[in-house]
Amino acid sequence: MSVGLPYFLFLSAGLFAVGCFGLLARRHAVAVLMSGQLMFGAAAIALVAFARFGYRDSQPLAGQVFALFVMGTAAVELALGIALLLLVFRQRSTIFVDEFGDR
Amino acid sequence: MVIASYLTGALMLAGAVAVVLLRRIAQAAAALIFTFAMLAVLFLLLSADFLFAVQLFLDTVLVGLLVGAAIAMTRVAPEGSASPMNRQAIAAGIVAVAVFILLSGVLIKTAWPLSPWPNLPRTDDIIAGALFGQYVVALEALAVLILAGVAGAVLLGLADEPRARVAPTLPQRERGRRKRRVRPPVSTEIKP
Repeated sequence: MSVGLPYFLFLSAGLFAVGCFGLLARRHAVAVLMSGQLMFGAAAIALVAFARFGYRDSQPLAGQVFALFVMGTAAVELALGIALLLLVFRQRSTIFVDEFGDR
Repeated sequence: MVIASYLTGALMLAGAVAVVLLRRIAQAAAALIFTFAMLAVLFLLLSADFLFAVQLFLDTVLVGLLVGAAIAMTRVAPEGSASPMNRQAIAAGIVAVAVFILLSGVLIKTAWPLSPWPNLPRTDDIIAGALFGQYVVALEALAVLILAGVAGAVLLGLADEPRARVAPTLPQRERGRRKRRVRPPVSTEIKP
């Protein structure tokens, strides 16, 4: 018995769904950003799994290369999100997303 | 290998659920670091040794530091018994379940073209060749994106400072008024 592609894709889908719930439901802005990071991680798992189980000589490890791009984009998104969050926190003195529009 | 894959996957999902459900944000950040560490192990089990190292350094250490710094700089009073979820938590749960069902349906119905793994000893040289060969344009675009992101983050961090320099303080305003006041000349003429 071996672990195949469907297992990793279901894992990716589950992680993506959990991140989607956190992105929509959490009040704390840093928790929203962390949930977004989970969604990026889910995409990376799927890409690496495709590279592992669908290897092509013409485009070797293309999935891993794109997973690198996804991880770089995720880091940039987190940095910008934190900078925006700090700016809003200085002006509104609150960290909860449902209170950002109150003043 | 099979047991390691199932165990790592289960731990990773448990960590992700903890990130989303924990009330204290510092504990959620610790759960995120744990989830990314399990993600790195999963990469190793998928024969992605270079990505394992990148994930361990970039996401586990760097993201953990960034998130920790953000939590430290945005400390607020304890919420008490306030819920960590907002009013749309139920709708968010429905959307999350719908997303999972949709993705699972696509996964089951698609006939993925599989091929055997060639048992590569290492992957970093192949990834380097692909990055600077076939995908060099995408690599440069990512570099520009990172540069724009860093520049934007720095600019956003400096956004409040010019306002503080423009507004003078009260003693400075008073000193300015005193300097501008001109005394009328005193007449020295002797009137009969």
